Amino acid sequence: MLVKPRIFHSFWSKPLLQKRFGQPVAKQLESTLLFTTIGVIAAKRLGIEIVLHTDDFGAKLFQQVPYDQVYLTLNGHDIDAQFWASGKMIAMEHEPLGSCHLDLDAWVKGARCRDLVFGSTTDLVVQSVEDAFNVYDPNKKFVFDQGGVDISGHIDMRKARKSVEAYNCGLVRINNQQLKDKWLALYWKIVRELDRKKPPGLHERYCIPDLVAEQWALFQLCKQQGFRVQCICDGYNHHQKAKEIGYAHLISEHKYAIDDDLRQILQRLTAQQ
Amino acid sequence: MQNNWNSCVCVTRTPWGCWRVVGCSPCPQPCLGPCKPCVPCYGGPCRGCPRRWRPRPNPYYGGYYGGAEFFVGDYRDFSEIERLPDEPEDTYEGELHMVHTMARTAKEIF
Repeated sequence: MLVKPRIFHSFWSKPLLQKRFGQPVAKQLESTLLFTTIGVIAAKRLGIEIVLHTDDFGAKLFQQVPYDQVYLTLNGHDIDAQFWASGKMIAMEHEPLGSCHLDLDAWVKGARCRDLVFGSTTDLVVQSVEDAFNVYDPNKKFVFDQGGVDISGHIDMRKARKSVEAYNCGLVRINNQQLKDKWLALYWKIVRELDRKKPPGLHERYCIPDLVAEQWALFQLCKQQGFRVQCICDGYNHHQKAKEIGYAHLISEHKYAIDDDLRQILQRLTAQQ
Repeated sequence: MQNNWNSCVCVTRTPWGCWRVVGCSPCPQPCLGPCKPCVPCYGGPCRGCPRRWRPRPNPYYGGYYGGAEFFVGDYRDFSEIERLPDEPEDTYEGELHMVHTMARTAKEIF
């Protein structure tokens, strides 16, 4: 267990440099820089160590952001950019148990949230449960069927096929080495196989195999194998709970439409005390 | 205008019904026409919908259609940490300027 709370960010430049959200690349980078900086300042204000795993481009982009440490862990990482969570997974491999991954567009900004996340002794701490809307492609085929991906050695697929739930991994902290190993192995099994086979139909708008490999797979692992999980924003009261504890996640593409708000927040945070 | 979700032609219909994230299963609202193509907007106005029909909330994100549709939590509220002093070793002086400079740099690169 870590003594000092530690958050790690990951930024793999390839997906963001490909207009992933339909925005001009420069616009994406500008907004990303703004909300990332806010997240770093917020964490540090709460006494949380915060580091970045990235590549050369990311190191240049974020060079003025006050990270405690920047690691060039993602240099040389090169698979299809649709697997954008792969940067997060590589970073996780390099981080100690108990370190918490936070998406760049998610913020821990309250002491209650910090204490909830880092005080937990469950095997996993995640943001919340959500629908795995992306398990099926537009033709209603299960995402792995087209790619012929066999993960039966990892989870019981008969049970898994019936489940359309996933963990929103905007925030994810693993306290159990076994779970960490299993999740990483399952993610890479799915992603490497899909990346190699490149089955048609998996680049559709509604079918996001990367989210299945990351979020749906983690849910299945925990449910089937009895790992203990704490969601910091539970169930139907998700939004209210986030407000109460001091957590926020810019979950939609509208994060690119609030630059003025982000600048105002930065202004307030960086104003002289 | 119909009130039957079965008539919804949402292209994101899944084996258990319509795409629950954008929420037309079962749709409690009068169907205002094709809600396609929906995107994983987590409850925001459906971009393809000419009437900007707001779908039923995802049960897991339910209850936050009061002005913060696109975000979890209150992204504007930093009151708690605004009151906190910086740690002695940290300084954010000039940071805003640096971020803006970097944002310009990003624009210049592309």
